[in-house]
Amino acid sequence: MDSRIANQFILASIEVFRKTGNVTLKKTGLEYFPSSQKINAGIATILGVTGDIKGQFIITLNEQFAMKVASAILMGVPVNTYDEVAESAVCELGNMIGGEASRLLHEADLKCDITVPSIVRGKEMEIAFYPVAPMFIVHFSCEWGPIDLILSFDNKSKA
Amino acid sequence: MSKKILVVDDATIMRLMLKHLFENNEFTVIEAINGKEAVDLYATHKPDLVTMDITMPDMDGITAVKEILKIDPAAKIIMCSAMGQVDKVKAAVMAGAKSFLVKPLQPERVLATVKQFLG
Repeated sequence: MDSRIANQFILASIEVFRKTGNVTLKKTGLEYFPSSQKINAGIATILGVTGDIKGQFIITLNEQFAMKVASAILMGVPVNTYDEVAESAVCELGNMIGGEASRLLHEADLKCDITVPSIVRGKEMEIAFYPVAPMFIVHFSCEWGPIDLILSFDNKSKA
Repeated sequence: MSKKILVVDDATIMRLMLKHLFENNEFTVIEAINGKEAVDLYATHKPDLVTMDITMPDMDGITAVKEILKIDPAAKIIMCSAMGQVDKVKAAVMAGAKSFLVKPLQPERVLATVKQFLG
């Protein structure tokens, strides 16, 4: 996977958090996995990428974090339970990061679109892509807690 | 009588956010969860302005803009989408949208844009 693609997703994540509640997202680590990996998260939103770049990205976070995102989007209205509103906020977070990354990639002449997000819930998940593809996990932290971005793109992508 | 805004978005959180914002600024809000429902509600309620997402099930926002403008060529529609790349903005403007706001939405910017068209 070309580092330019990963970098646009990292930059997009930082920008979306800055605009959503003025939160500073800090990159705390980057890991590479050749096939699959077990993660402890709670919630994962999965989005596909199509066009010049083909692959998927996944955002993993916990319920507390999701409620903070929902509250920030709602301009400070408290969200104290993980419900349809908080879950919708997680999907929208995926849309916004994907949308911003797509905009940045367009500027680099890589045209791509983002598919509709889906949600997976569970304490321990094993993430794998088929056909088997390597993945990068980018670890971030901010005042709301930890959040990870999992990236896997087809080697045949234009980049 | 307060101005009526039709908020069109498949995401619960975005409809809720815009509803809070507009109702706190004395607008009346109607909600649609996709483009098809938006076209039907526009025909029934004739809102003063529409905020329209792009990526939605059943009927996307660009198609809905075209359909609403067939009903009312003077319809005021503001796109609100996470997909802010140039080709999407061009497609929305070509379809007849008056403005384009990229998510994450900034409340002050949304209000300023709405007031620009509602006076």
